Amino acid sequence: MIQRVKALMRADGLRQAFFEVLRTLAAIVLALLVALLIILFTSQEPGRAIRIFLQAPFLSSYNFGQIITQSIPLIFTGVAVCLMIRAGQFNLFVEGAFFVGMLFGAVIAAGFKLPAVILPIVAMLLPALLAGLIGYLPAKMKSALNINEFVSSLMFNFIIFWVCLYLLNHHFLDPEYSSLATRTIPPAGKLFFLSVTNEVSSSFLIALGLAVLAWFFLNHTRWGYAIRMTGENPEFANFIGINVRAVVTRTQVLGAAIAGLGGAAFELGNFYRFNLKALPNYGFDGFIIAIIARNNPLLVPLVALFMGYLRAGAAQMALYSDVTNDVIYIIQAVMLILVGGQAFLSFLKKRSLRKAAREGGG
Amino acid sequence: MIDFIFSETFLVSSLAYAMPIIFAGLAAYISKKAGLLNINIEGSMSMAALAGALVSYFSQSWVLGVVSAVITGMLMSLVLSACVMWLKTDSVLSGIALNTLASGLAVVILFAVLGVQGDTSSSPSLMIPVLNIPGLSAIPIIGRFLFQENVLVYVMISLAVLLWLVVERTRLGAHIKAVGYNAQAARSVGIRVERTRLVALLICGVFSGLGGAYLSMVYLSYFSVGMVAGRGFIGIAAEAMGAGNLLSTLFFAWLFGAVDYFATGAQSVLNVPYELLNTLPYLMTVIALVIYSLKPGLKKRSRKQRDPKPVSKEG
Repeated sequence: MIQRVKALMRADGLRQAFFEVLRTLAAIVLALLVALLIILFTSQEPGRAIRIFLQAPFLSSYNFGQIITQSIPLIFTGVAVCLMIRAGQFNLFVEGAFFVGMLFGAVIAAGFKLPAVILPIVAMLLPALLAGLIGYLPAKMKSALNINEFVSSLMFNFIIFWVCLYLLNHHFLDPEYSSLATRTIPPAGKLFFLSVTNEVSSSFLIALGLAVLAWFFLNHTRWGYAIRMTGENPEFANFIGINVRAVVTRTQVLGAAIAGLGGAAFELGNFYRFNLKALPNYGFDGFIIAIIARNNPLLVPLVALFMGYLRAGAAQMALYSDVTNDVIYIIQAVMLILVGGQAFLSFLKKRSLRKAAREGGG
Repeated sequence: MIDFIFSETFLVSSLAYAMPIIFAGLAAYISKKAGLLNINIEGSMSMAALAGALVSYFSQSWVLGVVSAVITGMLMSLVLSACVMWLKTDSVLSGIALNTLASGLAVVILFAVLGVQGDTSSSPSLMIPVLNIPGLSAIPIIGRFLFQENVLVYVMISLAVLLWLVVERTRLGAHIKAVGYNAQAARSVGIRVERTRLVALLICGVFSGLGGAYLSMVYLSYFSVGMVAGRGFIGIAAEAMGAGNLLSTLFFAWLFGAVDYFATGAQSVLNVPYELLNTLPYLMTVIALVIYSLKPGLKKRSRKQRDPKPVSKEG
């Protein structure tokens, strides 16, 4: 009897997963269609633009490498957001944390005198620590004072951005360089390239490792269990003895630290100086990645690689046609709305549920 | 410094800096009354600013610019309503998505229409004029403040009064508040929840649109990507501190604007790097949120308002 129930549940789980895959694919197709329509209306030669957009990433080794490179920041921020959403927290500080990580990764790698292997590790861990420390503020404001973490984390992003810009312009500037940037990261501070020809850095491996680690942490540790329970039902979590407030604080700090680590790893892997003058939007991207990955860290790299493919294509399209690469934001937005939409294709789900009910003989 | 704060210039200019935040605050106020945390105010303002700049440049009419900005704001609200009510996407998620959409679409439209990237400063928008009432505007200190303001300031004041009347004195307002307080209960007494929310969101869109128009047609003479710079979110914060009260929402929005003006004005006076001064409006918002949450009396009241939220979410 129990075995039969288990088998039924497994079948139902599979059906559910199949339904979610179908929904995601439909969302991707629709989002791409919207993008193609926009290209069709705005471009002088839409056919060529669309062909470059979809084909270019596979046409050269460098472009193919770009798929992976573009996915790296998305994996980091996606994993960070996954953890926080699982705890029920809509915190967008990953944006600022990633920025902090990039700046301080570059500064520490260029400023500290340490041996080759140790330097990049220190230059990744210290920014992660710093980002976590700053992330403690909006986290504590939420858990202790019940201040909406969404609004406060956004405010922190702006504050952090301007403070970082101040530090860059007044303290970390390389006076000998032609434009505003930090000093060059020495070879000892860089993360090595996995493939020199297309400049795919080993930060990709760190990102993948982190995604697996986050999955294990969420699903197979007590802390992870506490996070999931807090997100699903805070009252119940409190009832079974989980310190909900502590979990809320810890998870957001952890998310900020992961984003900080990601920023540093991305910087050390793919850049020689820090020279950003605007927030790179990776935090919001991470949010979108997390939702499409159904808040499952293991699926994050998959979604991020797909987005990386779109970005690599869009970058080429912007170079060789008259369409800007901001089209990807439109694609991301449509995907987020559709995947997040409970009613999107829900008739399919209803049908499959009815079918399951019939098969179950009930 | 004290002289500076109580000067006529400060009074006039702080309002000028606060106007976009005030419009955002009014937009947040009405959507919150209907039980929705509308994060998309930021993106709506950006799209509306773009529409205002482009239409006023091409038509050479500021009225058409404002009208198209308002229509754009309402369109964004319509899209948000479709996401939330039709697709049943979470309102915060939809807001994030639409903000992303707005930032992408703005660049694409800018590039498609004008062939430029970043801003429209090469084709400046037509500015909304200042309404000067001769004689009265010569009164010291409050003269310029009350009788020599931009048209949109008078529009804002009359619409704010109208909004208050609608929310507090009409059937529609009662319905909006009922829906925001408890959507299921409202439905059970025959209020059309979806339609009421749609109306509230459309009103919200009008205010976002006006905020956008103000940015690209008064505050600056062009649209630039990222020009909203969190003002929509600060407006939401102002509403949160106003806790459902229109006057306090307006007050906090003005306060944030004043800080913004102070940060800009102090750059030439104080010997503090402009980057650090630029953090002030955001820092002030965070500090205000903390102070507000520490006040025990206010907190109790707002918790009472928060309680029915999970119920209203389903509606």
